[in-house]
Parts: sequence; C-alpha cells; structure tokens
Amino acid sequence: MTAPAALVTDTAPVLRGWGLDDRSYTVRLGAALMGVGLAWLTDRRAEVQGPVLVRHGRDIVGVRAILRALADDALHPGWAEPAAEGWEERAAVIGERFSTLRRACLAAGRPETGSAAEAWTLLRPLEDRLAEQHEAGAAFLGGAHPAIADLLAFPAAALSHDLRLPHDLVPATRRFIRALRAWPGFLTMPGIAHYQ
Amino acid sequence: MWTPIALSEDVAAGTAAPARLGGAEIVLWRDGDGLLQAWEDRCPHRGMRLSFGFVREGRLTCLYHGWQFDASARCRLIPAHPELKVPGTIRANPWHVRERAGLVWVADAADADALPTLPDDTPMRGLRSLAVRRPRAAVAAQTGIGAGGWIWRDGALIGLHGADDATSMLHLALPQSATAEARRRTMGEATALRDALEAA
Repeated sequence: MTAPAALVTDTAPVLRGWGLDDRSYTVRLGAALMGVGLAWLTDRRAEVQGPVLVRHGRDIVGVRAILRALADDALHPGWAEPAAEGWEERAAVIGERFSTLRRACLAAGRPETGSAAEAWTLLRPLEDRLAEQHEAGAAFLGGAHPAIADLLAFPAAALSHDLRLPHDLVPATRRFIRALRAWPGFLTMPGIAHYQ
Repeated sequence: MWTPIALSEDVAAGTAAPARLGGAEIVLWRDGDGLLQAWEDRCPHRGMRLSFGFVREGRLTCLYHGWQFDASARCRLIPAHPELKVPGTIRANPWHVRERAGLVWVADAADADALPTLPDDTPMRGLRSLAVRRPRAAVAAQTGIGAGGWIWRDGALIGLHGADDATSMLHLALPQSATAEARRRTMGEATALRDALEAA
C-alpha cells in the first residue's frame, strides 16, 4: 500500500528544519502521512530552536502547533482528532523533553548515565498507555487511526535507544513503532529505518 | 533450563524482535509462516544486531550489509557476492526456543532439558510483558517465583526473566477463555505489582 504523493506547490507550507533534528522529522513525517505537500529548507538553527513552519505568510513555531496547522489540510479527518485523556498534550511534553535529552546525549558524544533513567520516566506512561490500547484493539494512542499525539510521541519511542533505553523492555512501544512504520507514506530519518 | 522471555504474540509473523537474558542479546524472529527462531543478536559478519534487520522470504536479513540467514541459521546470500555459494560455516548462533502457554521460552544449547510442566494444559494467551527496574533475584524473592522462572497465581501464568543485572521482565498470560474484563483487571494488577516491586 502506498500513500498518494503529496503535491508540493508554490503555495505549499515551508518547513525550516534540520535533517538530524527529531522535531523537524516529526513535522516532515506528519506532512507525509497526512498527504500534505511540504517544501523544506535546511536551517541549522532548528537543531536548537526547533522547526518553523511558514504557512500562508505566517511563521508557526512549536511542533504541536505546526502539526495542528498541517492537520487542517489533511485529507483524512482522523489526523485532527484530539487523542483521548489529554494524550496529545502529554505526547507533546514527552517529545519536547526527549528531544532536549537526546541533544544533550549527542552533544556529549556518548549517552549520559542519567539520561536512561529519565527516558524510563518519560516513556513508561507511553508504554502503559499503548499496552492498554492494544488490549482494547487499538494500535495508536487515540484509536485505530494515528493522530497528532502519535506523531509527537513517535521519535521518542523510535529513538529511545539513543538514551540507552533498549526496545526489548518496551514491547507495546515496539508494536506502536511497527504500526506507524507500516502506515502509507512513512518517512525515515537517521536511526529510524523503514523496511517493513 | 528454559526461561520465559517474551509473549508469543509480541513476535509477529515476518518480524524480528530484540530480547535480553542476563545481558545476553537475543533476536526472536518469525518467518511468514509463523515459525519462531531465537538466535544470538549478532550478525557473524560485522556484529550488527540482527534484531535491527528484517524478514524477507523466510530469511532474516541483516540491516547492515544484507546478509540473509534461513531458518537453519545458515547464511544463504551475501548481496555483495550474489554468485557466491556461501560456506556452511557462516551461520548465526541459535538458542533453543519453544512456545508454550502464550509465552516464548528459550534455553541455551548446553542447557535445554525438558520444558517445565505447567499445572494444566489450559490454552493460554499472552496478556502483557512489562519491565521492572529491579534485579531478577529481588523480584523473584518478592513474588515467590522460583528458579524455573514462572508461577501460577489466581488463574494467571506469570513468567519472569532478568534482562540485565538491574532490570527484569514479567510476562503474563491468561486462559484463552478469560473475559475482556478479566484481562483488563489482570493488566491493572500487573501494573500495580510492577510499581510495588519498584517501590520496595
């Protein structure tokens, strides 16, 4: 199954992002899965400050706000559905904190001892939620269709080994990663392969 | 000795999954027909974790250079040398593996005696595996799980293995006849057990 190719037009939103930044990746992934055309410019500042989306002449900052804006243009209404029980907000916090920890680890050149403990703290609620969802027959945080909450949490889940949290300890998260990877239009970034 | 190491349903057909037992890294994988394998999680070529790889046409393929291993653990194709008849000495290092009561059990080659005898033959289905940030010995002492790595409690099978020196994993399975309500309740109890074990 393949996703319809998103059309990048002169009026398409423009992402100012950085290829190795997980937040920029979240935006690119979101646009690809939603089927929204997105042009992107490499901007190293995004590594620290986060990506910026230029849409209809306005700058949008913050990954959650950017994804919300993209979801307005998504073909499937499921993308704009807020996840139950505040999970969109929780996933945004997980994603932001994970990104900060990961930058610190990568800048240090080797994983810091304390980062694994904080990764546990961040990702355990996600693992518990995904296990409950699986039992209820849902692959994603909000239901059977991925939504913004899933995009926000995905890089933290898929790159958790960067913080020394191996995937054998989080089977429900592993299942979630596999489900999103299999979604039509999935994109890769360094550390997140696509081979399913 | 056989050790429960994962839920059967957590290794889907055509996928590979990582596991660790006492620090030893293992890849569990199934071919498209559902046949399960457990090998050392290391490609004999460059040491890449095979659990990062993918399953194609009944072979586990290393993500690094694409070496393909069939169900006998033999390397069957080296993409950089497609005409080469790969020597039989190039192979992954297999563990013994069985599935029983909804769980995956492994044993190393030198220590694969009979599978443990469970209290009855009720068909079981895995419920959840969850990590506990406590050493296996501490979890075993607090839960009463013996050296065999499992206990039958309140109609649920609870398996235990030590992933590394500091972390254990509990594996829960219930009879296939368990209701959805019973499964939800047991899942909540398991989470509470994990939290209590870590707080102790």
